[in-house]
Amino acid sequence: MFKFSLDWVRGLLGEESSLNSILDILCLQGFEVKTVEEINGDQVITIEVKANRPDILSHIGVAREITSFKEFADVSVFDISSYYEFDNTKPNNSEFPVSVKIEEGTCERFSAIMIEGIDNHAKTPNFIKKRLEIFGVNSINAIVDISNYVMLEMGQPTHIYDLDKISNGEIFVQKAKKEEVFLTLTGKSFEVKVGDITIRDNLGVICMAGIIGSQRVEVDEDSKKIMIESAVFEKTAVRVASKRSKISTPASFRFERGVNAKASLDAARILAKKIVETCGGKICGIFDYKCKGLFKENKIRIRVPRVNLVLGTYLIKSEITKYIAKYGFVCCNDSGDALEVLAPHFRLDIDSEIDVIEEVARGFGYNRIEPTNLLADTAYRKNEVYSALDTIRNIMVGVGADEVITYSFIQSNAMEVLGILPKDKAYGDVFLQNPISSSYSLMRPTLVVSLLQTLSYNYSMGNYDLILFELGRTYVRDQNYDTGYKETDVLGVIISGNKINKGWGIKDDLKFDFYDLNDLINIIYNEFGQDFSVLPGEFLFLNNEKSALFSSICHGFEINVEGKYSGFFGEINKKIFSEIVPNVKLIKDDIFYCEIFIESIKENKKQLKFESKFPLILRMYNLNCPKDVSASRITDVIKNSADFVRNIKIKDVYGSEEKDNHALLFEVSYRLSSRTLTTKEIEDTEHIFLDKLNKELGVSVKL
Amino acid sequence: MKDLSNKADEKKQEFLKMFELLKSEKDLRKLEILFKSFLKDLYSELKFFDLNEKKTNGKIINDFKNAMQLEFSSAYEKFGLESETRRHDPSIIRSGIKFGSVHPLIKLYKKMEKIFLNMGFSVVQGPEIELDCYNFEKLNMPPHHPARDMQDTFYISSPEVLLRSHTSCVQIRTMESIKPPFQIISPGTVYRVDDIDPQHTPMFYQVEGLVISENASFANLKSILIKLLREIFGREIGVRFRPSYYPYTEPSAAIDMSCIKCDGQGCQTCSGAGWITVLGSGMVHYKVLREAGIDSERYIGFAFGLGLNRLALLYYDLNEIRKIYENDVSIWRQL
Repeated sequence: MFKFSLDWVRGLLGEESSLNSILDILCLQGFEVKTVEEINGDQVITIEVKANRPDILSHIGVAREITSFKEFADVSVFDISSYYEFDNTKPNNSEFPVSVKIEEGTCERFSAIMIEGIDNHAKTPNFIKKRLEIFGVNSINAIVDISNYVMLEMGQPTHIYDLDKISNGEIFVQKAKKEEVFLTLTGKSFEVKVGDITIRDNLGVICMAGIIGSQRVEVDEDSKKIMIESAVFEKTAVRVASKRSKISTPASFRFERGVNAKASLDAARILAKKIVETCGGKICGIFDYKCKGLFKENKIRIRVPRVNLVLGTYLIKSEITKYIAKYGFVCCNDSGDALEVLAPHFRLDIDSEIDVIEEVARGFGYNRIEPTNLLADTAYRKNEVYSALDTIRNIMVGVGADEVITYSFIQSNAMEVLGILPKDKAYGDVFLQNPISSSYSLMRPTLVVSLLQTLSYNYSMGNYDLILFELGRTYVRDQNYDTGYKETDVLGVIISGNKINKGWGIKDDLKFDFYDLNDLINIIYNEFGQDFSVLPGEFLFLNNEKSALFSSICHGFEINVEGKYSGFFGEINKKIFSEIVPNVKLIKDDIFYCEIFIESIKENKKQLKFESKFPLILRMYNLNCPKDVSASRITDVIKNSADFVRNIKIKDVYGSEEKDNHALLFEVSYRLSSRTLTTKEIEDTEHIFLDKLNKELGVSVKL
Repeated sequence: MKDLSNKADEKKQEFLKMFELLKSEKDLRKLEILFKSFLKDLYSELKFFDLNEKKTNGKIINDFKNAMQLEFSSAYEKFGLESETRRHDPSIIRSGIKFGSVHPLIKLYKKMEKIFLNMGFSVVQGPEIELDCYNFEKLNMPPHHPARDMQDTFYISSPEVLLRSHTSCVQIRTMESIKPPFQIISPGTVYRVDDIDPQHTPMFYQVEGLVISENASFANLKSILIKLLREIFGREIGVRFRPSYYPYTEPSAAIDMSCIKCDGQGCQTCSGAGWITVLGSGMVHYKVLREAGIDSERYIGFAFGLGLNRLALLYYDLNEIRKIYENDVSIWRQL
């Protein structure tokens, strides 16, 4: 973000451009206008300046950009040397009264000017004071105010030292070799770490390069002899130290993004001139350190066909030259299909052909590029997971379920509360290092917590009788993945309340129950033509199950596809969940939950089989059956009794809780493909399986 | 041969007499019930006949039935009614058959996906827990790049493993695994550190797209995105491209859509600008292509991305972004 004053920019432009025309230009040139505030009769405009354009973080930068947009623009007016008049005396490092020693790699440039005999009791010029006020910058003293002003105008942060406070006339710019602490200008202590770039004298740190100075050498109203520092420090070091210390200053903000080192000395000269004008004194030395290659010309070759290929335009060479000239690019070589252009010195973001192509596009105008249809011969790749998700979503909506999306992070203590141990299947310990709160801290290993929360939230909103589902992800550690974590797409379904409400001839509410959940799992796998088996579960947050399928008590069930653990289901243990989802007490009915891993789903090709034209014969059998005999065993016996047994359905299960037996009502259908079955054939088959059921399973026909 | 004709005739005479005595619609309905039960009896007698007898008697019953039905129709007419009249009240909605609902984000995404699939795009996905190199470094954002500030990131174990702050990482993974040319979209959940309040959530849904081919151009990018926005928001909306910056594209563009609430006149939704920024895009930076092992001289690419949650607010005219994850399903059912 950069805030600028409209009056200030108008002053630099030397013309009265209207507010709206300036806002439009900035917006279309890529600087989004965030706010416009009126302060003291001036307009203060905040624009978004992206990381690639630090040259806009100054009033001159903004003025330059506005000028570029105009027809017949000439940005050379903003070359500092032509804009300001100042003393051009050459630097002489050996005669500089202070010894400045610079460690290589700390800065691109370090310019310094020394002024003697100043009077800092002088008042800050009024226009400077006013302009700073607009930006909420407090007036401190003339020298500090003027240096802030120069930064806002030119974008070069400067720092000023009271030389009388510096020990032994020696200054070192170097990477810190040990940890130390110093007091900053604002009176806070700053912890310097090894490798931070510091400016120091014999006594210690006098400035954290590019961030903040030390109180010890601070300029005050009694300062007589000062040194202006106008440098460009290595940006990563500034950023690291600023981030770590959480101290961000207008200077560090600019250094992190880049400051034009080619203009640093001029900025120091302009600042010196303004200080002398206000506070008197005399310049008594100029120092300048430059890293190698600083003033090398930035020449870039651009190919005209490449420009048109990338942009989809039909521009000719002269047009290209014209558009980039607006931004100060000078064409210095023209050969065949290519141009060599010289980038303006203030543009730090230009170092390859594509950077210039972008300027061509901006100069031409993004809106003038004609949209054309893409002709690309690309192959379509089916996404199996997405297609499975779509199918499942359709099934779920079809059975009346509502889709939800919940946060991927759950309470940090979820595993402890639910009694899930590291050895357990639903265990996860993928924690965020910087969660927004402990309630959103664990990357969930299962959707059950989120879905139960959503269910109880809906009950609190008066939405009852629900099937909710989410197609989301779960997260666990797994070194087989390059990230070290495995993510699984899963379907989570939670069911509670009435399936059918009483009324319309129905005497009692019909509740959703376990068999509805079981149906749903079957519907899904059937849709994909897949078989699955059920194994006893060990999910302590699901209720105990004494299923006829298994010899011992289990907690919920596991879904197993082709020998692989593929999900789980069962009835929610409300007591366990109440600690983590307090609202669960709002739900009086049983709650059922299932989770299916999408990776277990593979679409199998299914074939249609037309049944024979001979009649289907239906028979019902009411069987009295011990509760520890599972229905699947009875079904198997019936199924294997004859080839012509077509279909077996369980039409009802009834009986009282206390008794050891219950009744199962079976409907069996028989059909042959070659002829009509005789009654005798069916009766013979019945005898076979009823006899077998009785002998092997203790199942008898209920009379 | 046994014959039902006498029995039918007798009954017919009996019924005809009763028709003459009808006083009300109620009497008629009673008579119709008698007729139907007699007819049922007749049919049930059929099964005691042999095949030939069945044929003859079947015809007798049918004739009887047709004759009587004629009588019933004219009797109904007499009372000003059509036969078989029911008393149904369509203003009663029982809600006995339930249909579920799709989450509004997904509903909007599916609409978008269909447009992309029709344009030949494929859908790809990748992990949400990502490595720094896929989320930042290979996208031309080396450590300490200031552009990283734009995306405040959740870390699983810093500095290496994080929650992806955009789905651009999927694009890198795709570029590394399949050969161009290709057109893909990578939808999915992304994360940025933000407290949960009416206008912020720490998680949102993003849809990004990537096209790499020998001739993909900025003009093509414009064409695709204009089509997308007009398909979703209507033919008449204005679309504006303006320069922007992303480290992984150049030239980069921000795409504004004329505000659908005020028609570009300026209102609260668009902060008076008349335009709302809905997409970010650009030509894939050559450094990104190179990092992914693609010849950046031969292939050109463009990429775009949008946050679905903000777009959903606009599309459904909602005012609170956090409601999207509260899941009051009675609201979802409005769609």
